[in-house]
Amino acid sequence: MNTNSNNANAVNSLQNDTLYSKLVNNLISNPLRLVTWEKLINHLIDNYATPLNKSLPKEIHGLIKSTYDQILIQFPYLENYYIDYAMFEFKLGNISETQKIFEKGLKITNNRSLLLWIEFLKFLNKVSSNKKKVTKYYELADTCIGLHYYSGPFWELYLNFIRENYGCNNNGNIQYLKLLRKILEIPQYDFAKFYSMWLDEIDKINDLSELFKFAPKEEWSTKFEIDLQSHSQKKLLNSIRKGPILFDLKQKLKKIFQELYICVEFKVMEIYQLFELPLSANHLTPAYYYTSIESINSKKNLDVWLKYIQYCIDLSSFPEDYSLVMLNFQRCLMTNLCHLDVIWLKYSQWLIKECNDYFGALDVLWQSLRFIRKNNDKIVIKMSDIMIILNTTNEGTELRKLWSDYVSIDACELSTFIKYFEYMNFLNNTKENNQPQHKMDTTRLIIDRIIQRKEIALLDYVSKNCQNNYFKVILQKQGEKNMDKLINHEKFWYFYCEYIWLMDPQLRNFEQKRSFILNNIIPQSLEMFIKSYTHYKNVKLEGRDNNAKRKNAKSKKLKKYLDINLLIPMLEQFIINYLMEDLTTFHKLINNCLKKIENV
Amino acid sequence: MHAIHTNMAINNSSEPLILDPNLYLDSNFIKENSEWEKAYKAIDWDNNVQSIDTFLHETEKLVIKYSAPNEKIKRGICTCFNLVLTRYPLFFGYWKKFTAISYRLYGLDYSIHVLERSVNAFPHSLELWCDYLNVLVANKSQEYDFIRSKFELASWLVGYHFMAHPFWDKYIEFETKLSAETGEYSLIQDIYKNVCKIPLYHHAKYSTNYRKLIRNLHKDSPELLKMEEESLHKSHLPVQNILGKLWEFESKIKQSFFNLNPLPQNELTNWDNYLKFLLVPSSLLNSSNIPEHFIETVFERCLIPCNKYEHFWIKYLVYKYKRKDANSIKYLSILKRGLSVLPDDRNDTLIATALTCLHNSIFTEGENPSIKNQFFQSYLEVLIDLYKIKPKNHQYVLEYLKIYKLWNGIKYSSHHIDKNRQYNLNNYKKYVKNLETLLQKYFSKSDYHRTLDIDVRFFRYMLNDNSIDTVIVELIKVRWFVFKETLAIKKIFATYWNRPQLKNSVKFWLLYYKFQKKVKDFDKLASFFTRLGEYIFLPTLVINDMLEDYKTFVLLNGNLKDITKKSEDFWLTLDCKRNDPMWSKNKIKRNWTTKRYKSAGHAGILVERPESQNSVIHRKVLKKNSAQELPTLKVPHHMNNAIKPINYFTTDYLQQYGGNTKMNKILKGNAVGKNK
Repeated sequence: MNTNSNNANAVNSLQNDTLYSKLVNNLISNPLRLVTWEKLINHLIDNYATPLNKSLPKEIHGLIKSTYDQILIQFPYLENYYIDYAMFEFKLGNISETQKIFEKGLKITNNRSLLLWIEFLKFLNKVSSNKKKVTKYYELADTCIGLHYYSGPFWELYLNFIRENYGCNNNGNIQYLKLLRKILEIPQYDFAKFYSMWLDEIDKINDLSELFKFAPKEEWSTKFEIDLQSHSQKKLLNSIRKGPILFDLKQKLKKIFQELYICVEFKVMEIYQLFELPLSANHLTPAYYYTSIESINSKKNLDVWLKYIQYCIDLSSFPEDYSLVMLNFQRCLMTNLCHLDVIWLKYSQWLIKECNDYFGALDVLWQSLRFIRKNNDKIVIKMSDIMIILNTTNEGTELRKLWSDYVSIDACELSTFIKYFEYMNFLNNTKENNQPQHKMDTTRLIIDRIIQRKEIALLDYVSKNCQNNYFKVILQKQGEKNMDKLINHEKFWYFYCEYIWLMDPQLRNFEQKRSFILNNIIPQSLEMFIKSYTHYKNVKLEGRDNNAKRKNAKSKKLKKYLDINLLIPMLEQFIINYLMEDLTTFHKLINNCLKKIENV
Repeated sequence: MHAIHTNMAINNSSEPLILDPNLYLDSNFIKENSEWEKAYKAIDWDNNVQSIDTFLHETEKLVIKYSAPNEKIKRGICTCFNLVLTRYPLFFGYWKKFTAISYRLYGLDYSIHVLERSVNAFPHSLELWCDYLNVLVANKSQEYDFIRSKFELASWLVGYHFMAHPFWDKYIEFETKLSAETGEYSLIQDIYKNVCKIPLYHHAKYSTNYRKLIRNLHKDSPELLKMEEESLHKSHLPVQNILGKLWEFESKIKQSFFNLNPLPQNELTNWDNYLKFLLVPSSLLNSSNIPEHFIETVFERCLIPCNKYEHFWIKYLVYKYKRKDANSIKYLSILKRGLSVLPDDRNDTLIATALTCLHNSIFTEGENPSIKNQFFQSYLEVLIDLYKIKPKNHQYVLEYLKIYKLWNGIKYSSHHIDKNRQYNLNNYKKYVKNLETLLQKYFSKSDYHRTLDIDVRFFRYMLNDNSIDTVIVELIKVRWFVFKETLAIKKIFATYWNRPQLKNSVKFWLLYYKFQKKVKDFDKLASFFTRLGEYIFLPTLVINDMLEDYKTFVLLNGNLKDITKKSEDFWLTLDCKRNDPMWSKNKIKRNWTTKRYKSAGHAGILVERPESQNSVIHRKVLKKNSAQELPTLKVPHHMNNAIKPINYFTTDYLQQYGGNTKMNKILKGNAVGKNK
């Protein structure tokens, strides 16, 4: 009863909340602005969920939940909102819900968000009693973000976890030291801290037997010429003072790790100087986290990130090193740069080129489409290539769906359209006439586009690559609305000639082609030329009454017309390019045509 | 004794000149004259005239320093001058200096010899001719036949110079003296007649003098005098009229001598306008007013300061070509002269112009077959000469094939619009056969030229591994377009596709690609693209275009089977080759020794990085129960030293990778100089 009235109150007050409705309205008009979302969620939490306790009305809870969900759908790389969301649920005691949210965030970031991992593991430390299960999570985090430049806090967490859960007994201590030993080699920002921890551990050694924890038994005999296992040695050791020997061995051990320190320091400094410092120096445009779609990161950040990634690629000597490359790709993408196709394409290309991981490449590109809604044609083209190879086009329906979902064919640029046309054609070729109803009418596709847009450049493409005679089809439409403009274009005729010469499958013989061009196309084009001149002249010469003046004007007009209309030079160009021997014949044709024009 | 030395010097210098002064000067001498040595080493031949000047100045100092030099030193000094003047014979000032010094060292005869060499090397120098003739007249006045022959030669070479009055004064003085002795005036009259027709700066002086002379000579016969005066008047007036116009241009010539620095733009424009003015036939200016030879002399004068400007050479060549003398081949000498002075990268237009002129000469001029043949032969010779200069230029081989075909009537015999074109198939067959034998012999490396057709034999001079592809492409094209033999073409491709000579021939591979596209041989295309970048090296831009085109072609004409036949991922690796043609799946090497690894993060700078050779980074820690091994480190010795960038322009690098590049030669040259 009580909760019910509570709910009713909350809903009532929400209905009367003008600020809330204003914020919602704002949001509807600007759904891609992060600030409007932030205002809304802050308003909801401040006014309806503080202090947070389990008495939170269901409706409000649902509202906040769905708001969080919406934010994270709109902005999948907002790491801190996953944490906020999870903590919100955690405070309400919904443990499994909290874990789900963390896991969802990690999944979306390909398990490569340092921030999420740390918070998630802290959460697990608090709630989970299943040591083995948690250890699994730690190991997963190790492979995914262990090489992160700022992974220090994670490692501290891990070390603490080991110490607490595996105890301070002998075995636990060994595990602890093994992990610490591994961390020593990782080039990361906090590396020095771990060295001092390691040296402290060495200092703590009290007995020769503890030395095994720092290096395997065999190595003590090979590297330090002290066989701690053999009986005679043990006896010998028992008979003398062990203190100085231990001291000496400790010094030797320390020296080895001091050298390792120099090596790691070199790498840390290199990365820091070249990349991390320039990235962190730019406070105004964050290079480490996502803020909004509006403020695309500065060009400088992009440059540094691309160089950083290339550096990791160049350094990857072993397949194991790929994890660092992937980590840094993901780090780069979890900033505002995720809205640029460059990085996504580079990522997929790297997967193809160096890892032969085609499914991975395809997956990365699928992810990218979540962030890139416009100008994604390069991505879609790349995906089409991969899908064709992996044969995941599912008889073409998948591929067609990809294009129709992500590219607006009617409004896209010509080059993209051509690619689309090519893929559709390819699907038709591949299907071997099995299901004609699934075939796309690619001829129709081109004709529609030409009629709609009158793109001369498309004719250029068609004339050099396609066997279908689109020119004939266009000529049949002569007289239709707006078609004359296309047919009167000089390049239309040039490409028609080129098509006949290069592609036409019906005229097999060069002689046939030649005679077709000289006897059919060129005269036809000249007819059009004369017609359009008549039109031109009539328009321009109206209102001139004086005969002599008219004649004068006429010759002037003709000259001007010849200057404007480039048909003749264009055809001449074709003849020079392909039929040099017929130049004189061509000139005769032109002269005849000019005479006709003068008589008009 | 003195005479013997002089003779020796003269005799020796007619042999090939030795151009290294160090051959004569021993190390002690060089030590004593370090300033001279410094100047010698500092010479910058191409750009810095000051350095050459300093060098010769230092050489002059040697002459003053050693009042009685021994033979070695004398020769060394002469060599210094020869060194400069064989390279730049147009420095007339240095010739003068050289003359003075050789007079001092070897005496009169040798200095006259130097002067003679100077006018041979620089025949259009007014100053040098005046000096030479002055010396001859002053010292060898007895040998007047010899001197007269020199005067006559000079009057042709420099007499038409606008400012040639010092020369003509000298000539007239010389002849007047002689005629006073012999009483024979016809020669001097001829000279005057000639001079009065030339537009000279001092034209008025000569016509007045001539009038005086005639009046003196024909005191007794007034009729003759009147006739002569009239003819003088006739020739005097038009020249007088033109002088003012010429002066407009002549007065603007500020630098008439040769220099290494670029000529100021206004000078260049002036020369250009001057020549334009002379070459445009206007009403005021017809050939009777200005002697042709005057125009030629202006050209020659212009080419002294404008020696390095291709534009003027072309103008001169075209002018000569249009003159159409009886022996038109003469214009080729201009091509040769131009090529000898113009830099390699600035003579293409001149060559192209010359070839077009020759082409026109062969196919348009006259009907006389012997003259045509002569033109044809010289065309071939020019091509071969050019080929020697630029062996990497395919253009000349193409030109040859073009001219050969035209010459032998290998073309369509009829091209009427309504009739099909007919080929002279017999001629074509012969042509194809010739090409095939040529190729066969070329690749079998036999002494092939003897077995060849006489016309093709010429061709052997032009073929090398760079240009052989042109012949193959021509053969394939004829077979494809004229004979339409697809099988034969496949055979030709099979024969040649593996030849190392064709590894980087764009022409050949483009044709191959087009042909395979035409016959839709997807297997061949796929293996072609697999080889591309690995065995076939084409420019990256060409490869990019091909990749683009190939993708379109396959998508429009092929199906899934076609693209996965070769290997599953062939289709995707195509994109990897874009902008990175050397990329190949098998080639990716990953280890610490690769250049890629060492230069990561800083392109071009190789760094040895410290490495842990048994890294435990990627291990899962919690599996094993024993401790991790100790690190085995690879620490470079000079880890903390500053990083050094690779200098791609060091001598070593170029010698290793640059082959016969121009830069390499220059660097080698410098290195040799430094060693000495």
